[in-house]
Amino acid sequence: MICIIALIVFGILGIFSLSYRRIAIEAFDCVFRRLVLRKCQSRLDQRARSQITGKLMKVSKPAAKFTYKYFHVIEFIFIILLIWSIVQTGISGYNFYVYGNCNGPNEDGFCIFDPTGHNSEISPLNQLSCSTEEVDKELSLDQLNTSLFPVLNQGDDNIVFFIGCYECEYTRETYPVIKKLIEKENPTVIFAHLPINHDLESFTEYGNCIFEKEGSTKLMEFNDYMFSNQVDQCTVDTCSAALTHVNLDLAAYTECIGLNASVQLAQEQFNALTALGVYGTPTIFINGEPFVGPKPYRVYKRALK
Amino acid sequence: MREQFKVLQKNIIYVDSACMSLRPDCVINKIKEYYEEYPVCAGRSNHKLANTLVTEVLRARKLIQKLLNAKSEKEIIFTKNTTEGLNLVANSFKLEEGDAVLITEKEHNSNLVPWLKLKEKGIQLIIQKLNDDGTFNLAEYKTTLENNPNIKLVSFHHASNIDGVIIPAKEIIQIAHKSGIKVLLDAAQSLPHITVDVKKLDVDFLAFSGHKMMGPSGIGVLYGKTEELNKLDPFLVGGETVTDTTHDSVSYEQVPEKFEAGLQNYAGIVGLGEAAKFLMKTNPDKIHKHEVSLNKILTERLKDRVTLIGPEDPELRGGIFNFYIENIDMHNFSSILDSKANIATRSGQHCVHSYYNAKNLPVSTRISLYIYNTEEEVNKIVDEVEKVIELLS
Repeated sequence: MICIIALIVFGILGIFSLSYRRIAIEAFDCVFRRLVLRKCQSRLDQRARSQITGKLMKVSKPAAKFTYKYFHVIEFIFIILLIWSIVQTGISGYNFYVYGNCNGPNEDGFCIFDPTGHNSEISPLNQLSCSTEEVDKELSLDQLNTSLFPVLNQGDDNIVFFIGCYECEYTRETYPVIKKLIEKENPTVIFAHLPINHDLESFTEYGNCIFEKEGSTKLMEFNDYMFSNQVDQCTVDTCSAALTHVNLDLAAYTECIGLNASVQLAQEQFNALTALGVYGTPTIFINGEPFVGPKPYRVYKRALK
Repeated sequence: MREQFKVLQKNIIYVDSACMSLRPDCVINKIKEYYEEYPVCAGRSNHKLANTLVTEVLRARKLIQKLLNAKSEKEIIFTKNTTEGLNLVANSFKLEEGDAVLITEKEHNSNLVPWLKLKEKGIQLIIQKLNDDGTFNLAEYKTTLENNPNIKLVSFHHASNIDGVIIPAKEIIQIAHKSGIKVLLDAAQSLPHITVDVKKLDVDFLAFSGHKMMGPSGIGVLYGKTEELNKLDPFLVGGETVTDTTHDSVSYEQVPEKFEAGLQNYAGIVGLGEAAKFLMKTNPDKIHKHEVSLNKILTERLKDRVTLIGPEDPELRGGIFNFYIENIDMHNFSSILDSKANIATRSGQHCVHSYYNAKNLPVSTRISLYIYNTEEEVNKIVDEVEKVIELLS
């Protein structure tokens, strides 16, 4: 049975080393022979058994004796562990493909396929002055009134609810992926600006005003500018630059954001998002399924109907 | 002595010399000398380096002649190993359909398979039975020869690789010669351990390998009496074996070149010459005595714990202690000795499958001693063998 383990382990190591390749070939021969109900001739299992026993004898005679005597049981345990490990690896691979994370949707444990954890990185809300408390509950759009938020793209019946912050580097990274999704798949995309910094709150109001006055195309242009430029606070200069870039009048929009209705809408939006339990940006719901952190394109695409 | 064998500094107990002996520095240096000083062809080119090599090859041939006490260096043919030497005789000795070859029941595959192959040509193979303890029975041998007048060649191992027993070669040859039968000796396991004098033995052919006598691997020798070699047809032919050719004909060289086809293993040849010198300097009879003294310790301390293959008397087994233990996998046994205590033994049927099968013997572990093994090592081996027996029982 140990030949099965040897085949897998040395098969991988054999890619890099001739000496391991030789053992892998022996292991393959052994496994193949066993499959066709013939005796393994390479004695790889016995060699492993005796060599392990010999090494253990140097340390502990009882351990060596136990290992030699119950080698088949130990082999069996290792096989079980191997199968379990393969299954887990398969699940991890599937999770990585589907959710961009080995551990399942929005988990933050170590992932071998994404060792730096980049796909799960977020800008947390609770570490900044404007932050809200992290709500430890399942993310769901069920209770959210999405009509509060501007529609970035009116597409098919796939609904992408994109929560991001202009200052968040991970949102900036995700934005082009969402744009690609719009371009290729044409889902309906609703955009919610969730500022991770108090200084950026005004931009929420600017966005709402632009959407109300000019519609989604202009808002998209505004977002293009905001996500491609590092803007960490809304000053006269930064706001002016952003609005000028999209050919909008600063004075008119300054007036708009000063209206009670605008302030109230932004506040309602913020309250609604924090009530959802969103704890960082970017957070994207695709047809109700949440994805926290910047995921690869395939993950978002797969979540579409 | 031991400091000349660098590999022993790796804290290993090497007792697999019947398979492959270790080489002293002088042999390794001689091989290095070839590659550094005169790494060229011999006998083809006519420049200083080639002439140096020709001299070195001749020197090696003469050293081997001296080791064997052969009449002439022309009786020394360089081969790849013992197997090639035996194959050369098997394929070149003039045997006709109905003729027979006699071998013992305890031959290495190298001295069995070439003859088995000749069965296809109608050559009969007769197997000489041995005593139960593996020793040779001269009386039965005489009877075999009397009962089989078609035997034309006797091909025996001189010393066995599985039990170390040395056959009474001189008497065997005398008896064979009385009936006009030629004798070929497989001396792979005897030459490294005892004095082999081809004149005293009066043997017709004798083959041995370099790698078992502290020489390089890939080089061996077939000795043959000049008159017998002249009767043989060349086996491998090509470059160096001929004096002239046309598109229709060939004129062969004299012995030994007639049998040395193609570019030779010159590094091996000069190394083998050096090994022969080292062996003569050490004195093979002293080696044998040393091995027997070590084997006595092994036998005394282990005989009640293991089943020995071969006679119980270590004097008869030279440096071989081949054993098995009922219900223990001896491959695993050897492997544990290696991984636990760095003791290099060999397990298996030692290329004498036919004997193991005929006698229904299980796989065995062979300890084969040589010049560089010590009493301290042997005692350590016994201690470790006892521990492993205890573990696996």
